Amino acid sequence: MKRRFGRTLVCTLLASLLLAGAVPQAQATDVTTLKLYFWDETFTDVTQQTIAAFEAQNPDIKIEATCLPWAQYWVKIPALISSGSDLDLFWANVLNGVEFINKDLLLPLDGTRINAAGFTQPTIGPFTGTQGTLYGVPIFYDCSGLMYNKALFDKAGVPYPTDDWTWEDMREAAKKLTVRDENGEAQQWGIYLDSASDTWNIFYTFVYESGSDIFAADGKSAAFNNEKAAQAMRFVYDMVYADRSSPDTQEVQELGVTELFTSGKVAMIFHTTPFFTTMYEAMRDQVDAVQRPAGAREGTPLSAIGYVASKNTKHPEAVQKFMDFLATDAPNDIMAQKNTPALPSATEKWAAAFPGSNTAAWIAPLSSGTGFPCPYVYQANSEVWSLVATELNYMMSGQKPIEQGLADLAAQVNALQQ
Amino acid sequence: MGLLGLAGLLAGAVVMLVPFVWMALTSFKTLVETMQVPITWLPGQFRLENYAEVLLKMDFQRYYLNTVIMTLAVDAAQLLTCATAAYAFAKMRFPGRDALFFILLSILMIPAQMTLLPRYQLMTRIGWQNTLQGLIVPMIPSAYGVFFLRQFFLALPGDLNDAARIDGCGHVRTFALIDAPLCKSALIAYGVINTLWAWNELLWPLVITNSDSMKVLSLAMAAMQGEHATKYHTLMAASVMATLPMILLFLVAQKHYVEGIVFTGIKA
Amino acid sequence: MAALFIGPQMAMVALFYLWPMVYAIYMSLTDWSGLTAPQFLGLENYAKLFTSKTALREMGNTFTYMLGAVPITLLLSLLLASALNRRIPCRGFFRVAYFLPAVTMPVAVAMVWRWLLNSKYGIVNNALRALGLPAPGWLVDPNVIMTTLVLVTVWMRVGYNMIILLAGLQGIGRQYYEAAEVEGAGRFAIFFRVTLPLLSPVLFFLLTMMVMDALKAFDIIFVFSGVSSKLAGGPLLDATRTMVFGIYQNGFSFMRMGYASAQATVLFLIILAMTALQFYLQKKWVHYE
Repeated sequence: MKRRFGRTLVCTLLASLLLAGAVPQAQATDVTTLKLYFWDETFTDVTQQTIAAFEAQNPDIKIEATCLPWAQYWVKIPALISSGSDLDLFWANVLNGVEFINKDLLLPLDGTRINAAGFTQPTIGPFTGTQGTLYGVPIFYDCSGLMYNKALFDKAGVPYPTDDWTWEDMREAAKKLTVRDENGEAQQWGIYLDSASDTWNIFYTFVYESGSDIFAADGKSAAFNNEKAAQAMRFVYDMVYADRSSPDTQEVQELGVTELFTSGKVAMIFHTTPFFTTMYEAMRDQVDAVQRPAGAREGTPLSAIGYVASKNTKHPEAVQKFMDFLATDAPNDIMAQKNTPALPSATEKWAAAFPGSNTAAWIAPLSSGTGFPCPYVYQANSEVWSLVATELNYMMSGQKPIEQGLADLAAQVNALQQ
Repeated sequence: MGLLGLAGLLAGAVVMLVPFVWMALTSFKTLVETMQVPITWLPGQFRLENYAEVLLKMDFQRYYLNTVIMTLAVDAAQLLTCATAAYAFAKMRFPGRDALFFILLSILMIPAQMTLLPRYQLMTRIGWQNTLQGLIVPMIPSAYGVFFLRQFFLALPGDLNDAARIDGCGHVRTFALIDAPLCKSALIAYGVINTLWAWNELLWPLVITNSDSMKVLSLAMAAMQGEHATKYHTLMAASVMATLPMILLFLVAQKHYVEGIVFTGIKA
Repeated sequence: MAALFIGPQMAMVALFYLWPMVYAIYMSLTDWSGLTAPQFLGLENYAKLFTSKTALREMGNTFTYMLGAVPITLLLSLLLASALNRRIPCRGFFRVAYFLPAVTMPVAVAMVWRWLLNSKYGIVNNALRALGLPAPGWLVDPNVIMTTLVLVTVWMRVGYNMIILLAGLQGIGRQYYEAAEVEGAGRFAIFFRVTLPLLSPVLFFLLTMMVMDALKAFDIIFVFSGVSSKLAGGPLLDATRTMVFGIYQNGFSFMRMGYASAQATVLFLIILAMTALQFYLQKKWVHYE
């Protein structure tokens, strides 16, 4: 009995190894195979279609695409880079794209073959090195808008937001749309300000809209330690704690913006394009959006995703051809089925899927100059992001006076920049 | 066990069940139903679309197959090599035994994240990246298994082995015919825990596989969790399908737990 | 002969664990980013580590977590295994029920517990308030969140340990119980004088492994208060971040592999010391045949 058991074990082991060998290996004739990685599984269709269109034009190139989980994407890519193989093309966002460019890990592209002028600064800028060399091509972008629930506005008799709104308009509307019961418990909030940790939508954007810079132009020091930024943060603080129109720092940690909005418990939220798409499908004419209300100036955070290539790629020419292709209309038209494409000329195709909606909220920032990509410093960028979230939390929960928080944060950011 | 004890056990069991029940119920909901506050329990309708989407739109069957192959291979290899090593550390005498055992144990003191990059570089150097053998072989070494089974072997009465030795059995026969069968419960328990671990392992398969066709279930499900939003309804459907074999395995295994072993062998 | 028995495991261990360990220790002496060529730094990473408030906080949290999670889990698992080893009605159902947390997806676990423990709407606090007891902010109060994580850990691990302890309990020959009953020993006496000593090899295993696992805690922090939840920083993360969380964040988020390797080496030495201590102490309480 024991012998048979042992033999079965060994047989299973051998069988599995044989099966492993039986898996067909890639054919290496005169077809170049590129390996491509991306992180959003909902983009699988669009990616496959783009690849198919490219392969139709370039029969000697095949692209194998793999979707990686977002949470582990930046574990996997460094592993591939450090082993120097199996990595040709991959998605990068602004933060990581810039870091990889600075660390000289990306393949410089021949910019003369790519129609970079078709793109606008917020999307193409982050993929361009300091010397003007192009390292990647953007394919789509998300931006942040003010989404609102029409039914709640109707019930309160408050006019809908418009693209020309200012901070004050937003504040007034939020007050009117907050409903509390006899015990003072909120039944409905006017707005959701994630003051506990939202580096981008709250800190960077409000500071930008106040007229202050966030980081210095050379990316080497903090530029937000000033009165304008302090006023911006105080404005947010007052909306949360004085007006009580938003869940406070503690509540925000327990109640997600998505769930609250879907359940109709908050009238206005800041959110990004993909969420608008989901909400439009679910709530159609109950939901709409406008551009972010202006402070001293308008500002819309705009996050571009693009393809970059590894410097160790064994097929630079094939990679270059793919990048050339990405700057044309075809892939952008395909992308327009899923999200706002990076090429401004293709954005109308995306908008066509949302009749009756103020799609300008999501498209205008691309070309109007109000869109700004995620601000970055050159050293320890991810760490800075984390520091910002921490200090924001302390400031917004009242544990630190705002001026103090800004000063501390600036000191920490600068300390990391040598 | 009094009624109070039973009641306590039941209360505990309910607490244990709640997330799993939610998981199963959510696999029938629509996306909007999963994004509500307060959280919903029952779906409006028991729709099977989520399951259909997972099975038809994703290469789910392939991931299933990959996971099964990986788990079976790792299980078989580990059971064999860990049981023999555990037996050696427990019942055999050889120079450096305790030192080697402690070195073996020391590998449990390294966080897994640290081993990823060096291992992957090693695999790349021998061309095993993105292969089944590259996936399976580095998962076989297991100090956990050796330690676990060693404790059980150590707990066996020494007289049995002595008797066997007098009868002329070498180590191989003593191990295979006497000690291993006596540790049947332990081997079953180890089998369950090990299978569970291999089935759910994420980091190593993530690092070693580079194509969609090599993915395992844990990876596929992790890929369903997006940067900003997660489609819980389909994720839970996938999760239920991925979990069922483990529950079945446990159901079968726990039936085989032997109640008390009578050491009649000593008298013979 | 011994070589044949231990050879396969030891060889693979050397290749797939010892080699990466040596590699990691070497990297801890450099400023490796995981991507670019490393530059030698000597012990600079270690100096930074021991003066970093964050790293020290991580050490503190890790120990607190371990001291909370291990005893409670061990005790409850023991009670549970004893209970489910007896002939009680629906025993199979109970065993499966307690096993389920081990197979429930962590994402689902976090979703449900976050809701059950919601400080305003969650059932737990509603029940506490109804009983007139204080209803803390389980997942939002930095003073309480570590307790919450310990409790969730206990919830997740009890079933796992139960499997092992059941095997251990069943390995105890019936003759011992029969002998004890003949001598007229009561239930408590049997448990403490017969069961526990005979179970001690397995208990030793569990204790050692649980201490190691607790010191390496990461997944639960990740899911409840780390990167995969909304928190990127702040007092909640500070109250829960463990050493392995720090290693992960420094190594893969901040691209500071050299520093992360130093943290990993320090953690390794701590675990080594604790385990060596436990092995030394086993002479006092573990009964082998």
